[in-house]
Amino acid sequence: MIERVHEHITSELTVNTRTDTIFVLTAIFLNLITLGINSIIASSNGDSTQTIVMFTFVALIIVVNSVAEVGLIRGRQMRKKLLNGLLKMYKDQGVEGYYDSSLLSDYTIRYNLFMLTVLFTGLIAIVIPFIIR
Amino acid sequence: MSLLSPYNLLFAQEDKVDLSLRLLPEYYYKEVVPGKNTTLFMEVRNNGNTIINDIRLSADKPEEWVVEIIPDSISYLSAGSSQTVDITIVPGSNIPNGEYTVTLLAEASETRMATSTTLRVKSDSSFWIWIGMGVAVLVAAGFLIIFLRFGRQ
Repeated sequence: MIERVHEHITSELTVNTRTDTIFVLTAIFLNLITLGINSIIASSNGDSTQTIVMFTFVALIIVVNSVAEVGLIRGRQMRKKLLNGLLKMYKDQGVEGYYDSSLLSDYTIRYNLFMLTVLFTGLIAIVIPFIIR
Repeated sequence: MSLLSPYNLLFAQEDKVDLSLRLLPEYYYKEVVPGKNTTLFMEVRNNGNTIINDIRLSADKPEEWVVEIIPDSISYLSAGSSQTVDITIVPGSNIPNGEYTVTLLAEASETRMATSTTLRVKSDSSFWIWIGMGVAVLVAAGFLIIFLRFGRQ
């Protein structure tokens, strides 16, 4: 039974990693695409329609980045819970010495860096077109 | 036929009317701000061999633009001489960003000459920079709130 639980936890960790990767890549990709589109809009004739389109893309950036950040926070919490369970399991089996518990804090730092990257690309995608305009 | 025939000599002495208008190269595609003055200088030159009288200067401009030429007329311009005129351009304050062409015309009874320049209207960007910075600060604050609130759960 414990092997089944172990398999389940490791498969959950794999899905969690994949989901978080999708969140980060999608957010960064969308930020860069929006940066390009809004920069083109900002450098062209600034009529009211284009301003509305520009602000719509800004709203899209805010929504996508918020979703990505919440998703990454949840992913980080989920990973922490899964790894805690895994560590407890290893402890019960007397093999905890093979798994360094400091990995938990390393994952937290990595998640925070991912969030910072998403946030900064989002901020750049918002600010640069307004500077060009 | 000899090249020095009386006919050719008479032809060589014929009055030549040649008026040119010249703007400095940096005035082409110059950036202007809606509602704000921009002064250009234009040289009106008589390249011919006869005097040109009563040159009237005018501008063909986009709607809502003000173009003032000082002086707007030159009483006479002798052969080989030139005069510089000031052109004050004020794009309308509600003009959208883009490229606009202003054509400058010089008309005299003997000749007519035109030159044009493309000006790039660019709104005073400080307003939009503040808007952008404001949105960015709000987004950063929102992220911080999300981070602190959801991160603790």
